[in-house]
Amino acid sequence: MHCTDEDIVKEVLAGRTQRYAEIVTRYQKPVYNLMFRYTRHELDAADLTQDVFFKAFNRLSSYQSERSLFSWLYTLAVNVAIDWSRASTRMQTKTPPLEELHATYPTNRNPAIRFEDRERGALLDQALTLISAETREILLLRYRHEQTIKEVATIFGMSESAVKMRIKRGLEQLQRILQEMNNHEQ
Amino acid sequence: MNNETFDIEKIEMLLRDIPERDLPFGLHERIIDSLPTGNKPRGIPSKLRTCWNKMLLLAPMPMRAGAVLAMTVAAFWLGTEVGAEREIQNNAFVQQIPGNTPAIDDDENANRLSGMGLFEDENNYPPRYFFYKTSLQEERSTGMNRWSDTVFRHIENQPEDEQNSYGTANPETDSVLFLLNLAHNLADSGNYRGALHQYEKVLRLNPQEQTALYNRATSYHHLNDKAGELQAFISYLNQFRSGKWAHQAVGHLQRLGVFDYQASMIGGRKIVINQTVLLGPEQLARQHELERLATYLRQPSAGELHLVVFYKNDLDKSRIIAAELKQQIDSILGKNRELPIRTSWFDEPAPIQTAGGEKHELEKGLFLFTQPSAQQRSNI
Repeated sequence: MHCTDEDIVKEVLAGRTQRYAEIVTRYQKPVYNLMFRYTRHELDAADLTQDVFFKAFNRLSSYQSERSLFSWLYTLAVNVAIDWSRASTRMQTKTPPLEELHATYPTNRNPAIRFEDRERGALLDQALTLISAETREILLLRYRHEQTIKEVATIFGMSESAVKMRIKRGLEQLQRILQEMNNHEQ
Repeated sequence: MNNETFDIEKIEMLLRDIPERDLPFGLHERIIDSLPTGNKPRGIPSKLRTCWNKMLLLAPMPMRAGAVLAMTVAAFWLGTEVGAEREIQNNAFVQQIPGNTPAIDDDENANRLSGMGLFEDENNYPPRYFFYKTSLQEERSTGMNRWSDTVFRHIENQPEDEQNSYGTANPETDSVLFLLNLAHNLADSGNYRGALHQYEKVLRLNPQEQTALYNRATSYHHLNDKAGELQAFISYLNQFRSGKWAHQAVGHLQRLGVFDYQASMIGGRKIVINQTVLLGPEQLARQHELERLATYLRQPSAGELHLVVFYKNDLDKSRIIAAELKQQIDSILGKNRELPIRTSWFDEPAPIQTAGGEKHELEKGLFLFTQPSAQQRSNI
């Protein structure tokens, strides 16, 4: 039987805490991927993911069902990631020169389906590291996670028009970078 | 990739499809273990772990360090002892039968060593039996990958017939993972015909193997065999209708001029539907196609279903089919799920844009999508 997030939250708050595992199952992947994009390190990303779910569990009573659980959890995750970025001395703010980009495309970790989009996906992955973390996450929330402008604005504490502007500029920025990378390759 | 232009729409599409990294092993358990609840599984390993952690917490720092060191040394010693014992057994196994073909053994290490020995000796007896046996005995996929890599290195310079014979000699010992990895290696080296052959073998063992189904199609693509590619992508969609690769398959089929399939947003998920079957006269096939959607239509997020049918210059036919589909969906969902279905129809052709950006005009077609109901929208 399929239960909504809200149902599960109610059950957890009513004492059936083992149901929280279902929330972890549903959202661990986007949270882990968010953390990986910030840290670029598997262990750090796993630690931060654990931290997010720990905090979410302790603050679950503050969740209000007008928002989606994903959005609430993601807000928490973004804050954890930003705190980590501020605190971490390992964080590199310097962007690599374009010449280096072409030698370091990440290979697809899944050995399964790998003929397609490898180059294109790798280019985009690299291009996303060259724009600001906040813009990157706004774009991914909007397109990858199909969140509404309103939800994205709530998560980042911005006005809706600011989010729209950020998306527009982010896409243009990505376009320039991808074009440059592509020309460089020819 | 070269000469490719990146317009904003393409970037938006790439962002939608950007792959996510797999989770590290055991992350879920780690998260659950960290929670201050009674969630934790209370099996013996968990109890032992808790006990060990408590011991370490209570112990002063030098004792704690000593305990960890002692455990490490003990584990290392045990490992070397077991390893040495196995090495002796394996050597004995190989030495017992000099000049003869060794027999398949119950120990995967023995089989692996025998296989490697036969490679090096260029013995006529095919060493593949030993690797297959090893791959079956050794459950870890990395181990299997290692041996399929070895076989791959050995066979890549062999004639095609010889390459194709690998893995077919003994169906009993074929292993899907082994063959898949071999196929991937062949494909990565550009030997798509060899890869295709291996994917076919995987599919004989498991006709629903997702990777093999998809990669078979891409192998055909690289071999420029359009008929094979088309059939292979259709086979993929016969098994899988959601997820990135299903949508990619639809894009490929459209590139090949087949517009039978299209993606629909149903119950919050993008699902591929076969609109030709849904518009066709075969009631059973249509029923089967609709049953595939039932799970998604039952999702609470599928507030209301919109069903739009169009036939160029045939308004009546559009209307009749829309009504039939509505009735069939109602009967599949049953009385427990009262899903409002809004039908509409028209007699104009509809323009569509393929994933590659080409524009086409469909003379008949179907749009099927769900939206939150008016009540759900007002709650938002």
